[in-house]
Amino acid sequence: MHDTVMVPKKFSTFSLRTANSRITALSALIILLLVFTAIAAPVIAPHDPVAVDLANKLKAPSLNYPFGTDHLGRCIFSRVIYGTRESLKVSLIVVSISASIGILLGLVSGYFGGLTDELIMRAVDIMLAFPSIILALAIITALGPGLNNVILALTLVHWTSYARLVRGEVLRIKEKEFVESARAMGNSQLRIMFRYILPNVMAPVMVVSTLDVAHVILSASGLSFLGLGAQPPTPEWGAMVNDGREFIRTAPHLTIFPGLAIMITSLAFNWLGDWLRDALDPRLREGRIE
Amino acid sequence: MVLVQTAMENSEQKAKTAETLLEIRNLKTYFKINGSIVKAVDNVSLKIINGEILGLIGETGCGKSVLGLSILRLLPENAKIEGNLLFRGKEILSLSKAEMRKLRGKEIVLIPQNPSTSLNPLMQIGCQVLEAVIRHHNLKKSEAVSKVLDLFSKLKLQEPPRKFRDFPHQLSGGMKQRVLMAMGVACNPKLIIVDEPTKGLDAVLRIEVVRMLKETASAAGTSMLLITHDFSVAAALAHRIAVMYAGEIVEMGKTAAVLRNPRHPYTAGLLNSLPGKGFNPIPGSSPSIISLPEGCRFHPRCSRANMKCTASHPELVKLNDDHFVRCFNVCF
Repeated sequence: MHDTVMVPKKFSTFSLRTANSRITALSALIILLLVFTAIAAPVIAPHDPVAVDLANKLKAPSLNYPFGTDHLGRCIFSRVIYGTRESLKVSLIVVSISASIGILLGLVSGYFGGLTDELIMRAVDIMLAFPSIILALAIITALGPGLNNVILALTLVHWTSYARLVRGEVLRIKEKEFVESARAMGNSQLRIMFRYILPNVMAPVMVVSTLDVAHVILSASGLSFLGLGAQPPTPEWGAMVNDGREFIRTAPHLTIFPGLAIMITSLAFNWLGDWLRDALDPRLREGRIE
Repeated sequence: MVLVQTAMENSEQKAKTAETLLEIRNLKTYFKINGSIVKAVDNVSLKIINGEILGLIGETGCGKSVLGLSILRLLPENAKIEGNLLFRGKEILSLSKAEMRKLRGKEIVLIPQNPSTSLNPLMQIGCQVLEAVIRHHNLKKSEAVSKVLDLFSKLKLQEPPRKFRDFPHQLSGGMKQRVLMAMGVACNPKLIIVDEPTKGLDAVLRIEVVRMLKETASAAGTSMLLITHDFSVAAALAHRIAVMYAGEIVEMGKTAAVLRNPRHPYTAGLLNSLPGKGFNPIPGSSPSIISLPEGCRFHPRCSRANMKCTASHPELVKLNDDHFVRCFNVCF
């Protein structure tokens, strides 16, 4: 009953009473664990991820090899652990670079309007006219396979959504009275853009970039699965799934474990993004109190 | 009325030594909206001398806020400003953007009308005031901070050091109003444009705000353009009053003269519509400034209107020394 009382529940989402908040806590825990795994990979991994041991190939999971071994006898557990590094590295680099580019262009576009806006937004339209994965494929084909080129291709594809989002928010914020009063106080344009407008458009950007991490992990794994990303023997989840493809009937653990890693990671980032969106949207927060 | 008289005396004392701070000559601010032209401010001329408070009174949409923004050149791009805006003898309209930025916040300050939405929600209020002080005074940060804390305690914001770090959502409306005032007076400007200082405030706060404005103005000898629709605020503060209707000034004169003997039927009507004076509303509503009536803009609502009023547009005429009216049938 007491939930119907209007009390300021600023951090109600941190309590673990609702199913929703348990999922949030779980996803936060998973992400922390992933980051820890990536940093401490050499300590956690029981074997060298690239050491070939043909005598022990295609072994089922055991105490010595928790996730079994692949067709070259490499420890899948160690490879999955080292794969965390690759996935997180690619996704964080892609998201931070594309978000920075997108935010900057969106800010300029929304703030100045006119011809600048027109040019930037038409460029965005052109980028959006291609299916993003096809465009990434084309770029990698032109530049050659490799994780660095995956990063480049995905960045070129991903900045557009940030530019659009930020431009829309800037258009909304720049009409606010506090921006006008900042102008009346003699603030320069740059100062108004970066001190007054930018912080006020960051909330949705945070949500989108968190969700985007999941998206980028999937795209990067997909490209590696197709053989365009990480090259052997780099331990990368998508490439590992591809390696296990031939043996899926006889030794499914080759595909299951890296596949699960991809799934759990992107799920965790998606959940976290969903929670962030709810937490940063005051309308949804009020809705929940009622 | 006592307040009015003291205000009058002040203005007379100052008038002897005063020089013109701001002179507006034939100011026209037009907006182009969907091909039609909206004359938000039409041919307005007025003067503000040093240390004077000019009350600009009018209904919603009569162009008084646009006039204030025109002075600072803060209008959207579809606005066109014509005429002369002379600030201390210099033409504002011909200043470059950089010169304009130096003027804003330092020489001329706008205290905006909505305290609740006029502060950056993601910036500590102290920093927002600090920015202006540092930029315009070239002070060291520590000096500027102590200046801001000083201002806060002068404006009766409790526990200045703690308030300094507060964010706007932690303050009440009255406190935000005071923060905005602190921003306004921080750089000792020559002219403060106060846009509806009492809008949305309750009676107690209104008195408080009026008192603070009065103190600020008299302490530093700052001139003020007080934009309001509240006669009691204007009566308490302003030395002179200008009444605006549909983009034009219809009556201008010393506060006491305008309030005691309104010469324009619109001013008289406004005064009669006050709760203390019988609550008699003016019939009709103010015209849309997109399609203004022919002749005198007030004639459709005016009880004194005749043939001449519908046919031709009256000019602002000087009645006596410092009292101007735009009407063919001046009230006596």
